[in-house]
Amino acid sequence: MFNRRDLIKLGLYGGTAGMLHLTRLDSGVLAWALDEFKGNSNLQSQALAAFTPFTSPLPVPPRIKPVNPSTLPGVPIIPGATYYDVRMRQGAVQLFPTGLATVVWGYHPANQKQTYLAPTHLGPTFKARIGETTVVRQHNDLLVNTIVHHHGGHTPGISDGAALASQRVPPGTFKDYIYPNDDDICATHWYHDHDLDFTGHNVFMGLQGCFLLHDDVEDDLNLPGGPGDPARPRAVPFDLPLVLQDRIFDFNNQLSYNPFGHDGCIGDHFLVNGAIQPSVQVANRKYRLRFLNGSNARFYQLSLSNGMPFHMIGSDGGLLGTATDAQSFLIAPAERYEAIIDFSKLKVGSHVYLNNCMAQTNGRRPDGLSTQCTNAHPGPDGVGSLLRFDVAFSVPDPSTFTPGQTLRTDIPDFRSRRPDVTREWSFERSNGAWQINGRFYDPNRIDAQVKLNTTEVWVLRNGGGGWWHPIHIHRNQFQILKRNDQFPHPLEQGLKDVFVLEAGDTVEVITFYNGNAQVGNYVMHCHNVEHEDMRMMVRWTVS
Amino acid sequence: MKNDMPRLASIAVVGVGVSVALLSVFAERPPARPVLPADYQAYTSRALREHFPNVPLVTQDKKTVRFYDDVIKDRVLIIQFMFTNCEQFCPMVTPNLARVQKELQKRAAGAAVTMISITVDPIHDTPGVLKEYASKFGVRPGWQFLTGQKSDIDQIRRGLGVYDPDDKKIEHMNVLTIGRESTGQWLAIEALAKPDDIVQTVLSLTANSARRTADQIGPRLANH
Repeated sequence: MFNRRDLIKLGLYGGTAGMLHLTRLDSGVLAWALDEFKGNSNLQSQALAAFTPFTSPLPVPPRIKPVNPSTLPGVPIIPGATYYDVRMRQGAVQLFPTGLATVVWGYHPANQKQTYLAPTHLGPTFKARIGETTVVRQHNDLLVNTIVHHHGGHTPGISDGAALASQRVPPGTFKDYIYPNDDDICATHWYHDHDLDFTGHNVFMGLQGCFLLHDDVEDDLNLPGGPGDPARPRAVPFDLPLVLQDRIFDFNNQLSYNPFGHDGCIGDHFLVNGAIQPSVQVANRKYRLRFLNGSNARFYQLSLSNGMPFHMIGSDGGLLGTATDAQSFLIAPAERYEAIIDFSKLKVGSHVYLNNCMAQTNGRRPDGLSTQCTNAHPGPDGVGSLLRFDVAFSVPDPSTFTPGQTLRTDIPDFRSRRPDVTREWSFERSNGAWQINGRFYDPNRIDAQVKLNTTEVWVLRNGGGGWWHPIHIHRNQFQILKRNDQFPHPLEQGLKDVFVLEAGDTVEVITFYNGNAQVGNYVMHCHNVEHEDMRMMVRWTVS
Repeated sequence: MKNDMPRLASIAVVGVGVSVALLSVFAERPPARPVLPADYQAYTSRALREHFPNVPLVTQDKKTVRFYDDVIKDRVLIIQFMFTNCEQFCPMVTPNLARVQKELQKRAAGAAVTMISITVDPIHDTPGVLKEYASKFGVRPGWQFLTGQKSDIDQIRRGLGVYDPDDKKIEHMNVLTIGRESTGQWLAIEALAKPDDIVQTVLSLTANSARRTADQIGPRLANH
């Protein structure tokens, strides 16, 4: 039995409104045709005409180029710092082969040439060495307030970009964000909008990008890296971020965010690095892939179609102590995992699909693992192929990696410290709103005052109702002491800043609050950003 | 064709109604590059109309109003669901909102904010019952209490996403829906948030309108 969506995909839908709509779209003119479709959001959100997956090339967000601080009047001058000039503004990407380009919001380098269409809505990638200060002037050219959060960074409160009214960058103004990058080890961080009450909408519109930290220990490992094969214009770097997002589009190919969907925004189209189900040409050698779940509320369980393992090497806060293999892994909103994938045994011409095996149709929690996790076009539950790797050429592979190898021995060991303070946090739902420790969010209330140079254990407890919450704590990386009284899985033994609380879970995390510059206001919140926008958050300070 | 873009962009900044007419002229010579929603906020606002069923409601003064046309359209709003026999939260929420109204009326921008309380028990909560309830809490003009058909009110609750999926015994989610219709900015926060917090939240929606400049309207060029 065909439903309306199938018919539309086949081009057979003959409803008056649909025909009118398609005719208007063909003219290439936005027809303000929404009145024709009122009252059927299901149709509106799933109405895209035939879309062939794996036809778009995987975009790779370019690395941002620095500017001379003399071009930034009034910017604080910090010895050794690198300066960047960014404008948050509206742009467009051509996501669909036919019809309108899609309006997106993004972070645009102010010093780069303008083109009409951007290759991806993702912001440029920042890279810094550990200890190299980065200063970013962020201009807000949008019509709404924004806040830029450096997610994962060991950042002074004033530049952290927490969802606090005092952190807002109003339209037409700018803010200079200063990142000391004095984190413990190299890591896959990211940056995204964090406006109070509107994070869900603003990140859905595209305000996200990667922020990568590097260090000498990482260099010495000689993991896959470098710019790819220069002879191939479409070649991607051997160290490749993969940002996973789900989105909903309307009949005009425009992003369709439901601000009344408070349980969590679950999309029915699947983007990697800003393209819908793209494909990427790879060499039959090793790649370092940095997975970032940039979705608002969707959890993914990733696997490879040919059964190859992921050689997992890193989590939110950087490299693991020891590489560990996984046939598949769960990645919650805002989590990052790094993996080595070895295509060297595959013949040129073969394909490998990155599949999601976790079904999820609402923001409360995933529906469960699918037993039919094959190379299918994902339905609204998200089970299917997100990306296709096309093994297209051979190049020498000078990188070194052995599965199970020791990666680094200098990761700070918080677990062996004796905690100075233990705090308990219970995340609950009360009459349709969110509470933490039985209280609603109050921006003027400080729920924890952390003293510098102390060790704290935070016990995070899911208060019930069957909801899943990916809890994110700002400022620090943590180690998990226990998950439900058990020593954590190897993938959760590294540094982390997002902790999945499945229904009934209790997770104990520990950290050491060092860094004299890192004082001021911070937050902890659910990174299902619709839960966050409904104030599932506490404010805390470091002094 | 590239040179057409500034011209199309300038056309697209005209109001929605006018631009439909003008764009239809250009439809005969399709642009090489698509015309994008010139005013994203107007586009968003329009896309959200299906969330506001234009059903009839009755005010505490027995005036019949349409939910979209008369209550939502062009307004900055705080929307609450309540019922007069509610014993758990409403007795705290209504005085909380009364303090919000007092705070708002102290400020110039606050005059632009409309407050709406919609009963989820319309069979009991007639306009007369609502009027008495409102007077008990010192409600001033600018805050309307609405009743109507139960099915219509349920449709509104679904549209605004405030049907609690969890607990059927509690008849409404204890949240405030706060928004600005013309820009499509909508949010929900707990109804027992501090009055000052609620005031700041709703006024942050009104603060942006004056900041729009010609430079910020129209399709923006992306740069990479």
